[in-house]
Formats: sequence, C-alpha cells, structure tokens
Amino acid sequence: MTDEQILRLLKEGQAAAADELYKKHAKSLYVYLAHVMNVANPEDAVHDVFVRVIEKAHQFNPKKASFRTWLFRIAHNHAVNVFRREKTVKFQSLGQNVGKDSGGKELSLGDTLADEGQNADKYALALAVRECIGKLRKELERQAIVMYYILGKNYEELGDVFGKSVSAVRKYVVSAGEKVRICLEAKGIGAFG
Amino acid sequence: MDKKKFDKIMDEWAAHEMEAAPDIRPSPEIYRKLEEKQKKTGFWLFSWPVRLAAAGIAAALIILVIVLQPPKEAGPFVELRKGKAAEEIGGREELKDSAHVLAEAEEEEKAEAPGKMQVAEEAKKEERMDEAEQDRPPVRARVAEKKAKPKETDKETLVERQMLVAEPKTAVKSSRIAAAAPAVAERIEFQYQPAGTETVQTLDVRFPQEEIVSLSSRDNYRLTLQLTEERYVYVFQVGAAKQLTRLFPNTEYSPAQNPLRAGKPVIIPLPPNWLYVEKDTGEVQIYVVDSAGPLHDWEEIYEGYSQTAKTTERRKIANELVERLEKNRQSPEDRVSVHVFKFKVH
Repeated sequence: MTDEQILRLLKEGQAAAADELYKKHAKSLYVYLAHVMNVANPEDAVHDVFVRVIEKAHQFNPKKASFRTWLFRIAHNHAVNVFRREKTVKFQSLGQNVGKDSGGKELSLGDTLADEGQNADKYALALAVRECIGKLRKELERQAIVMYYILGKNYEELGDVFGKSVSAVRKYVVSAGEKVRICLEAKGIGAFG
Repeated sequence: MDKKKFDKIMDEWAAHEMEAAPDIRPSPEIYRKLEEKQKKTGFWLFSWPVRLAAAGIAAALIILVIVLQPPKEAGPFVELRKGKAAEEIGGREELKDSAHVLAEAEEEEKAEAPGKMQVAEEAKKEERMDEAEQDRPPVRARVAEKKAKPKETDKETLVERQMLVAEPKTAVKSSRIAAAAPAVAERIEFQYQPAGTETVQTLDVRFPQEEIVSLSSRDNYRLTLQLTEERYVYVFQVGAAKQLTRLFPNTEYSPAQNPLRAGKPVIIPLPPNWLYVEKDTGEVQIYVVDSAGPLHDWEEIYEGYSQTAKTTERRKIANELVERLEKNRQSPEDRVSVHVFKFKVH
C-alpha cells in the first residue's frame, strides 16, 4: 500500500490504515524518537506522533512534501515541544529503564539494541554509537545526525523536516558527525569498520 | 578514522537500530481516534460514487450562481471575507463570529455599495472629518465626547481609546492609520478577555502604547495578524523573568507557517483557544517581527535559548534577543519591522 493510499484510508478513519502506517514507519520513528527524546518509553512517543498524524491527516499537502517528510516533521515538532516543556536537558542513558521483559526483569535501552546471539561486535558498535550520539549537547545536532542516517542521507528531506536550508542542516550533520567520530575513536571503535 | 569508514560505521549502526527496534502495534487510542474520525466524517460521504455526485452537484451550483449573479453584486463582500478567514483557521466557525471581521466587511460593503445612501454617508463622514480637523481634540477627549459618562479606570480608558483608533467606521481614524502604520501590517491586534466574561477587548499593536493594560493570570489573550503582502513573521513573548516563548511560528499555537500569505488573518492561538500567563507577575512584552525573508540568525538565537538548561544562560540569550528586537524597532533594518506590545500581569 502506498503512502497516498494509507493517507486516504486515514482520512476515512479506517483501521487498516493504522496497521499499514505502523508497519511502514513505526520502526524508523521509534529509532529517531528513542535518540532525541528523554522519555521512559519511546513507544508512547511513537503513538503520540501517530495520533497527531491522524488528527492532522486532512492538512497534508502532497505537493509540498512527501508523506514521510511530513510524518518526521510532526515527530520533530513533537520532540521539540516535549523538550521545551521539560525545559531541562537530560541525556538518554543506556542504563535507563524502558520496561520489563516477560520474566519481569527490568530492561534498559542497551538491552533493546540486540537480542541474545546477535553479533557481539555489531552490538558493541551500536552501543558505542548510541552513547556518543547521546553525548551531543546540541539538540538539533542530535536530531539531525540520527535522522540523516535513518532516512537515508538526504539533506533536502532533512531541510524540509526541520524547516531549514540544506546548508544549515548539512552544518548540523557534519558538526555532529565530527563529534561522534571523535567520541568513537576515543572508545577505540575505528578498528571495527 | 576517515569519512568513508565513519559513514560505514554509522550505516551499520542505523541498520542495526532498525533491526533491533521493536515491532510496535497501533495502540487502542489509535483505533479509537480512527473510529471517532469515521463517525465524525460519516463513512458514506467517502464512497466514491457519492463523492463524485456531490462534487458534480456542487460544481453545477457554483456555475449557476456565477452565471445568474448580476455583475454589480460580485464584489468582495462579507461572505468572501468570512470564507477567507474560515479557511485560514481550518474551516472553524469561530472567526465568523468575530465582530472585527464583520465590522470590516460591513464597512467595505458600505464603501462599495453604489447609490444615494452611500453618497449621503460619505458626505456625513466628510463633515465629521472637517469638524475633527478644525479643533483636533486628542483621542481621549473624543472618547469623552462620544461616551456620555466613561469610567475613569486606566484600563477601560485605554481600551476605549485604542478601540477608537482601531474603529473602522471612523473617518478620522482611517487617515491616521494610513499615515502612521507601515504598509505591510494590515492588522496586528492584541485581544483579551477578562476572566468570567464573554467580552473581547481589541487593541491595535501597530500604534505606540500610551498606557499598559493589566491582566491577571485568569484573563485570556490572543493575537491576530494580517499582512498586505507575503512576509515571514516571528512573534516572541518575553516574560517578566526573561522567559522567552516563540508564539509564531509554533505548531502548538497555530498550524500556519511562514511565509504568511497576504490578506490571510492568523489568530494565535487558534480559536477557541486563548493564551494566559501562569504564575509569573510583572511586565510581559510581545514582539511581532515581519520580514521579507526568513531570519535564520534570529531563529538560531531562539533555538540556542530553547536548548539551554541553565537559567542564567537562558536569561543571557533572552536579553540578547530583546536587545536585537529593540534595536531593530528603533532603527529598522532593511525590510524588517518590529512592533512591540506590553502588558502587566498582576
């Protein structure tokens, strides 16, 4: 089902639209929101964004932006609004509890990165990158670098999401990338690639 | 580590994150929202045959109305203005009730309606203008003449005076606006609603304030902007303790985005919502900035503010922005104009 078809069903209030919407976009939204918001459970934030999407479905103009751009703009605005409301910069910690597993054991964000049996190097690498991104002090840099790699390195789309020029978002991504690179090197990650 | 290697690491990380992200299913709230939407819009309306038939009938009616309507009645009267306003606020009906819009429309209707009545009214207006020109009483005095026994509280006097300035039917006022207001700002209004009343007072922000209105945290307020040409607009509110809030653009308060189109009124926040100041007391300033292009450096200052946790740092950034706003207000930069409105919170 294309995004246009999903949107049409959303406007009609059809439940099938929600299933398709989640199937196509929930994961990327989850990764983005997990990195940019200081929330106990990013899943709730994903639901919040989709609620807004349903509420605003009639406002979407396909001539102005793609559905994915519009969706991430809503997610970005949601993250910024929550951030402003909290008015404090709290960085995500890998030890932060995100819920409990089936046995009742507390799970941390780090635990969600990989299941048992997955490649240990990849797990260590993802853990380190996540930690380095979490250390970025500028909110926009953090948002920009996560979105850049999650959405497939498209500066123009990033500019549309943030409502900024391509050169401005490139600046954020480059600056964030440099900081993450230095952080990774300090952790001895350069050897992995 | 070179850029290529770093890119590879980041790509691996992104792929891993996507893979590791949980499968999220729509929450019950999502289904509830969709159900509400379905009930609200009525599913039958969306079936294609009904839609097509409805569109056909609507098109035929529009053509009929256009063809049958005499040309002299096709001017921009009340209905057209209301339509524009309603579209801007997402089709809501609240704006239709706005006394201001209706008053403006009425004035336009009168101005454009041909016939003797208009000529007579014009003559009366001119007479009034002549009288006003002869002795040129201050606005306060004219208010006193118009109102039999005005109450002498500062707040009410101010409201009456400024409302007179904004009163569209006063001929004297029209000439004042033409002389004093910048051409771009057609309307910048501060409206407030005292707690427990339905009354809405309107003040014109384009003119210098002579007195400062006092509101309590229980009173509501909002802003209405309308420009004569497409502009980038920024509205900042600075609290007594230098707390900075960007009221526009801000999707929390209004879905409208920059650049604002000419002639489209934007109400902040979107009716029926209002703004109010919580807890804080003291003087609050609202700066309305309009510019021919986007003000990236101003936006960055505000972003710097919203990303900073330290109170002292935030205050410093807020002061920097206020300094720039004030500087620009007093000696405007090229194609950027700043209006300020102040009120007290007690």
